[in-house]
Amino acid sequence: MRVTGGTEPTLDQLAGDAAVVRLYRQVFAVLARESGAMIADSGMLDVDEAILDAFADAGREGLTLDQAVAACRPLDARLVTRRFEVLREYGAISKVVDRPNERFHRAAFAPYVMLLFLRRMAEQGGQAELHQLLTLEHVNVQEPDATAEVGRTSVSRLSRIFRHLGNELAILAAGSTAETLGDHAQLLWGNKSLITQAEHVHAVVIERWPQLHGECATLRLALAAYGDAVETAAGRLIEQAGTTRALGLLPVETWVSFARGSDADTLAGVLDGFVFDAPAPWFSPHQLTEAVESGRQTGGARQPPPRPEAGAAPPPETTVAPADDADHLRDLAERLLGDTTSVPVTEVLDDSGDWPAARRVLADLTALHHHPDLPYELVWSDGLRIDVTASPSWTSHGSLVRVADAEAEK
Amino acid sequence: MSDDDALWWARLRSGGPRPVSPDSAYPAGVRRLVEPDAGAVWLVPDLPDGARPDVLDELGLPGAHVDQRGDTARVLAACLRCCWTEPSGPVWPGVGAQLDDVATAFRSITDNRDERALHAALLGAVRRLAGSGWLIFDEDQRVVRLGPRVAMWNAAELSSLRELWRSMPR
Amino acid sequence: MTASIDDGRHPVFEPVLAELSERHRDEVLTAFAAVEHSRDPVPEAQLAALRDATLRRHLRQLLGRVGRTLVPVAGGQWTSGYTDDVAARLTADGWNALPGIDRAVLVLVLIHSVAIPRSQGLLGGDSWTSGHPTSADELIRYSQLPRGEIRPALGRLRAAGLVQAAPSRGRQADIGTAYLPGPALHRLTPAARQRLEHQLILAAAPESPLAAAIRARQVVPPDMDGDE
Repeated sequence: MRVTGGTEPTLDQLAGDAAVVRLYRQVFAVLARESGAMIADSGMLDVDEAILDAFADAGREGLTLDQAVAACRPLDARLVTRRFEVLREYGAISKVVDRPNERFHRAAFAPYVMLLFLRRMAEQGGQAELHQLLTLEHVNVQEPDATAEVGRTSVSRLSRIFRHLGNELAILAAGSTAETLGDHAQLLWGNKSLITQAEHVHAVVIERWPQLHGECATLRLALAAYGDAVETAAGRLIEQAGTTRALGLLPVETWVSFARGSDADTLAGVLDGFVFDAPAPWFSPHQLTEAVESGRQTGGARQPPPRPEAGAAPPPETTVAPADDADHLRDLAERLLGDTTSVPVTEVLDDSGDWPAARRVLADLTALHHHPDLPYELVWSDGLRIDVTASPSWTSHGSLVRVADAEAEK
Repeated sequence: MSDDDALWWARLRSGGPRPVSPDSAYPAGVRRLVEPDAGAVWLVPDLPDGARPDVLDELGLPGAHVDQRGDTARVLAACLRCCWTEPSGPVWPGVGAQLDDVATAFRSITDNRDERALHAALLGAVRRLAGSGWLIFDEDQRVVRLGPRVAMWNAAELSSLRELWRSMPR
Repeated sequence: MTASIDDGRHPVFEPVLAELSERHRDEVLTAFAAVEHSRDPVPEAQLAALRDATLRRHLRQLLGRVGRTLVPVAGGQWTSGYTDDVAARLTADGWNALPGIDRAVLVLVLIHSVAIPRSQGLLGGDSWTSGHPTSADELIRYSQLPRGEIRPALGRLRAAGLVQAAPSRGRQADIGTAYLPGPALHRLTPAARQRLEHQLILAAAPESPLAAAIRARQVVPPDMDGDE
């Protein structure tokens, strides 16, 4: 409750306070486990979101509990019922008309906004929200009719925010293990741009209202303290992170965009200054002799390995391949597969036009399958497609697939 | 022996055996393999007995991973059969052999896959072996030679290999 | 064939071995072969020259003669790698035996298999090994590298033990071929492992406070070997 300097609050003030408290209760409903306790499981937020989504979709008539449960399937009915009750208790959901037998409910708007806000905070540690807040402050202090009071409030608010941030980091850096510190690494993200944004607000305020130099000095101190805390924490993290753990202190998106957006030279540059061993396999006479022996034993005596090709498939081309067909075959496979890992043989043959062309493609597919260095194979299933109007008029059901070349020893 | 020797050895390990000009300096403890035309010299590290890779077998430790190890070993044996024309003498430098001749030797010691698969296996193995210094492969001429790493086989190993050589059809 | 060492006196190794009894000499040489040639780190318990601190010192000296040092690996294991000094001197003039495209592909595998799982809190321990596969698809479809060069590079990296094929067992079929960092990464000394971590952060987030902290500490030249 607001304290108003000794005098009794007016009726208007009381009504205003009640509205604020009502809103507080509503927005915190999504965090309430039950009356008086906070949720300990973020899965509950999913249930709340599903319920609030259902209300958004329901339109003006609202929803009964049963309708809400139905709309939230496949979520557990008992769980949905329980969350529904919690939300109702906090006023996030209320009866359409306040009478004893009313079954239809409506949802307040604020809890949903709160939910979205929480999710974003959870993902980014509040960085995006801070950026937006700073942008808003910047806009506010630039308004032509803004007063010195607006500037004062804005600068004071920013001072507090950066003190909070700096304090949290400084305390963590001083007293906690590298692991704990690492868990809060997102406090370090985007620090430069946050400070820059705050400095922009500061510049506007000091220019427009020189009398606020005291407040502005406080903000500058808070920013400096935050910068120091970032530096100390980062230094401590780097010192304690060992030989790979510091990698986890950058956000996933940073890694993904670096990996996907960098050219070969940039990536290779990371390993400038590192020396690795050249391949140096050893072949002992014993290994050579054994390999020759086992090759001889299977040679002649054994039939070609039974590939599960459908009986109706034409025999593969057996002419000697050109010296290097791996590239040709790889290109073919990549062209056929595109972005998928599997493509039906029927589709490939259909696309090849006439039968001689299809036969050539089939020969290539067979070569792909047998090529020891290429990670593709033909997988055949039972079943034969017969289409008398097509050429060829029959094809067996099989697919060209990209396979895992698991360490194929021997 | 100097710091520079250590640097040389490290360079040989990370880059594989390498050719230098015949009058180039070379570190202690490496073997110099002179090219038949004397135009270059290969430097190959020379390890004392007891420190060579054959020790791994005795210890039951795994050596470097080799894709298609069986075929790769057979292709090396086939090359040995084709390129080591005087098995009573040293294995280096041997002579160049046409890839087709190697293919014939390889076919005689391998299962009867179809020709295309056989050829692909041969080519894959030749490239792998060339990549690790066991062979020298001239892709344009389709000629295979033994690589400098064969000089790492010691006298006892060479005598086993002579036996293998004799047992293989050409 | 073995002209230089026919008398059993190897010019590089003899100065270290000469001080040792015949038994210790054998033990040190065997351990040298094990750490230098084995694909994986060697358990300390398996070899006398790894267990015994004095012999281990001789082993480290022996390795030092060829630019190498002993590298400890988690779980009481040892392997060998280039000393930080030798690596720095070899690469000082830009020399690097590993082709650029291979280095680029290896860096991508390290990002997808180690850095990203770290940021997601999915990786424990503190090594460059990982059970999180990098799919060939990710490399081919989403990176800026020339498509046709990626698979040959992966082949060479596999031969060098720098990447390995991920076991396909239990993996979703639609991921296709996938790779993991290879056992050769164990050969990086602790200082090199950390330098790799720092180089990755400097490259991926040069403006971050972490990068600033790394730069602030880089003025001291890295001069330690991977000792215990």
